[in-house]
Amino acid sequence: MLRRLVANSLVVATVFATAEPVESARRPKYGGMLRVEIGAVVRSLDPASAVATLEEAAAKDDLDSLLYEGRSPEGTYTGVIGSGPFRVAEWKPGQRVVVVANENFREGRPFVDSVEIQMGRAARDRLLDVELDRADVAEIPPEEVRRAVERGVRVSVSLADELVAIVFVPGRAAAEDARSREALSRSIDRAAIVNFILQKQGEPAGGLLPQWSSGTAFLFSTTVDTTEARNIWSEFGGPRRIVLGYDANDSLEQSIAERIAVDAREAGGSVTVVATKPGTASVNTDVRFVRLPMASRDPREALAAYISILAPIIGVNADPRPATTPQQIYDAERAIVSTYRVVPLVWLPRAYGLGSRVRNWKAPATGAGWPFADVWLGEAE
Amino acid sequence: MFFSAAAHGTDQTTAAPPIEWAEELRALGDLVARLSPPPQNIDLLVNNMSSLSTDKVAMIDAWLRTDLASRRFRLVETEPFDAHLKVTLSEGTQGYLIVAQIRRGTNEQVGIFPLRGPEAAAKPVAGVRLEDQMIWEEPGKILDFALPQPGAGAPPTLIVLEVGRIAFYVRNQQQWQLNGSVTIPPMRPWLRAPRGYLDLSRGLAETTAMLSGVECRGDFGHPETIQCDFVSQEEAPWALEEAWKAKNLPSAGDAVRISLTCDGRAIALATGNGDWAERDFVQGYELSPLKGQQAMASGEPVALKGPVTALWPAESSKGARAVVENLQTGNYEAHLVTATCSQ
Amino acid sequence: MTFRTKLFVVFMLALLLSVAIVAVGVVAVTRRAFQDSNRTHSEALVAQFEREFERHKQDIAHRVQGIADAEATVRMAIDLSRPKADVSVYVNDARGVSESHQLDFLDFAGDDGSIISSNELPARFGYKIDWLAQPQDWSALGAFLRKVDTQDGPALGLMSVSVVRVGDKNLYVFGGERLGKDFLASLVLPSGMRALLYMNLDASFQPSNLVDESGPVTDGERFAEFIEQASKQPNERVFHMAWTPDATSGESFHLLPLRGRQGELLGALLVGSSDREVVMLERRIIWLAAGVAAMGLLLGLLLSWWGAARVTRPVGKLAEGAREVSEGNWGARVDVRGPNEIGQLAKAFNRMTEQLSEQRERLVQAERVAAWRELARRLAHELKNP
Repeated sequence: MLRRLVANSLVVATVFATAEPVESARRPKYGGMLRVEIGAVVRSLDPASAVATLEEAAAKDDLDSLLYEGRSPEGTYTGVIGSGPFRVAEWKPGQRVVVVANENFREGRPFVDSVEIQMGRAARDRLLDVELDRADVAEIPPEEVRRAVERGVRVSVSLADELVAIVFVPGRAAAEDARSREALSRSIDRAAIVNFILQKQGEPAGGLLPQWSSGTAFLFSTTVDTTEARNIWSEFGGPRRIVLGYDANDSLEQSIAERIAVDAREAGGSVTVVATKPGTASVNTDVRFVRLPMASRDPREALAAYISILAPIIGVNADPRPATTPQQIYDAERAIVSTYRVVPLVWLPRAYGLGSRVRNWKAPATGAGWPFADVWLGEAE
Repeated sequence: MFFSAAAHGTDQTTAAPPIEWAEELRALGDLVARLSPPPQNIDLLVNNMSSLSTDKVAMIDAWLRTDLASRRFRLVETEPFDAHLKVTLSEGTQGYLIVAQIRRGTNEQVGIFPLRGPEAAAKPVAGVRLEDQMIWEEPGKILDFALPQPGAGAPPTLIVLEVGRIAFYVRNQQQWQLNGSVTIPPMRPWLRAPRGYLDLSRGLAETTAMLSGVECRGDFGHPETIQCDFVSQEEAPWALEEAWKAKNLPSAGDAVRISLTCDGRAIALATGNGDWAERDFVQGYELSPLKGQQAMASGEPVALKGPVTALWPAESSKGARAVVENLQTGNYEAHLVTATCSQ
Repeated sequence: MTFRTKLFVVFMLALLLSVAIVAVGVVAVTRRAFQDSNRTHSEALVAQFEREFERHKQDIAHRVQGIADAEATVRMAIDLSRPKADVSVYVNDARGVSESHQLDFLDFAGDDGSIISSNELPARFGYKIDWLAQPQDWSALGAFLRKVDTQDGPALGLMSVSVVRVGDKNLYVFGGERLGKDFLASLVLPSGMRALLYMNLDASFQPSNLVDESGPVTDGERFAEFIEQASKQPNERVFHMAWTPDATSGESFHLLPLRGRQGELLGALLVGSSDREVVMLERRIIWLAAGVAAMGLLLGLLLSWWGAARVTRPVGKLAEGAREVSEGNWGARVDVRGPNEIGQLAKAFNRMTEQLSEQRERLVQAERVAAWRELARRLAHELKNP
């Protein structure tokens, strides 16, 4: 008999409390296997093993977030593998991994019993599978979000927190010509890339940090300036050929690269696009793509991480006195962007298609891994 | 949203009235004066990219104009300009920012001034009028909170029930300061979605903090007296409320009855029915005295920035305590939603 | 030179002259016949090309109009006619539609000519095709040649434009097929003939732009001169190309200029007729003539030998007899019989020598008598005049 709660109630009732709460749509249920499909391929769970591509690195990071207890401020995972919300039950490198709930996880056992992750699935197949409820969660390329929504798929889109940029390869002639770098940057129509190629999923990027994080992204122009680009290139007496490499397995990079080539040509430049094998850098490319997920929603941490990654390209060492105030962050960003060695293009969100069983899905926070520990499975609709 | 420069070009030496963020705005004025020493003709444009309300922005705009005028700048709309000043109210994860772009000729300088926390804007409504006030926020999970009535002459206190502790805060200079805590022993088995409740019905001296499988009792005015014990799961307090909600507001997520009546009808507050990945709201309902008649939504709901993970009647009985998980920041927020009958 | 040799030479000369005249005549007639035939074939091929070209144009215009009339296109036009329409939704539409209608090129463009979606250059969305939005009766124009920019460089396309009008806004559907080696493969060519297509896509002649049904032509740079002439004066013309010193490698080309919408030279069809057959035939004739001549030579040799035996031997005998007579053997006789002139001559000769012998006998007798008479006279005188 529970009498202690009745003081504020107008109605006195006697209820025999049950061990389980009353069923409701917002209260989680335990059990079930969450079926997940991703495009990347993770070949090893060993923290010491090298990764071939940034895509594999990001996927491995997401996988680690399920298996390790926590994350240090430096970004490394703490605890032993299996100390996180899940532990590995089956592992087929590059194909499939099944993780099961860790009953003793300090933040509480995950709601689902297990998670099956199929790796290396093509984007079209992933979308189809989630549409047919053969998968519960599937990574969707941002440019496919609109199509997925039109097909009735429930889609979760995170904040735009992955920077896509092009970087000039140090040592190449094109990279050492500041005016040529500037001309290329000014000729790129970022708004068209976002509106058409990304189907409005993403934001044009003029600086390294998105507006929602730094609050100062608007200070970096994203407007195409074909006239100025043409003026710069005409100083050379004709277009200087620039070779832009893109990942042969990445259709988004290919589409953006082709658009950059068209924009450059319209402005009097000459950009040739070549496909490169993932994990290798073609010796003949002057410019290549980089995709940089933000390490943290905090602009200070995100910028520090970017600087450490881009240091070999921008030719500076990581600043021992990292930027902390908004003014310092802006000044550091401006200093990097003004060299035009790194040309920000767009910020991408992470998008996931969700099956009808999925409940309590929250778009992954910036710098955080998959939220599978908080997901629970309801009835299929 | 743009606020164009005033049409007047006369000097005004009246000092700007007091305003929140005056210090930051004054620093902005200092920067402008340093880069473009007065007296100068300035074209001022104020742009809002943040979630600040229109009224707040207008206040900032007016303050800036007054401050610049007091520094002997002439705010003009037509040529000739000595400098262009574009002030943008922006927002990032670190909070609000005032971004000043000062352009003289082709040279542009940028000054960025972070601002302190925002204020929520209240809307006038019909029916049950709800007002939402965020009391506290923290990155950790809040299970419940309470604002016990302070003693005579004593500062206000805040009790926050977290998964692993009970934290006690005291108000000091407009801020809550931690004034002690009591560790709660770890629950077994660990629940992914633990619940908690602070029962102050018998007063601060006999308060009970209930969690799944654990109870902590004592004089919450003297935290050192608090003792925690394991209890049976069957004594979970929230089952009663859920049973009532299922009967009277089946479509709602969580609901609480409050001791307020409007036009003779009892009022309840309830949340939406979405899962915890969606933004939530608190809606007022008028309960019908007739058996079997559904409760009726009354007044405008209060929109929140995330799901309500806990909803309990407030100590004042005229509202509810709501714990909200802010989907944008990831923080847990303690909100006090008070209800009044609109006239 | 003996009569026999002379006779032989005359005989041979007559034979060779006859053979040569006949051979030259045959070669000339044959060559002309082949040239006429080639011209006829070339003209037929050009006519076939033009018919096929025209049919192709109509087909493309029909298919592009079909796309314009399709419900999906009309819905697109309706959607885009609204204020602040979201053009980006359609950016990938051209690829699927072009594949289903088997077109190499397809663009959707808005009222101002801005590209909404492009199959051949997907990244070109947003940029304008200025000439598209100019006032033009596209349906009356039909299909036309146009230089088309693609990801792999410029190409020659047979294009058509259809317009979907909703309210006061136009949606342009601009599509077509690539004109290249595949089109040439559709032509039926007689043996010994080939068709080349030059795509005038660059400011100057590019050998790689000259293709046959299997791809770029080898030694394409040899055509530079003719193509450049055609560029300056885009008229039909015929020219000859000798690929090697060997005459069989020669080829005659009929050049048909292909013009764009505004008369600019965008390409040229070259119909080539190989000289190989006629040259081989000529050679065969010549060899035949030479063979005939050689056989005639042998035959003539035999005939002349036989003829000489019939003619020159009696003449020789007569000549021998005459020589003997000149040497004083007036009793020479020739042993030549026959009813022909030579026999009669021999008979006459024999009669002559016989008469000469008789006359000499008589002369000798007369001299003898004269001598006896003189002697007698002298004796008489002497006797008279001791």
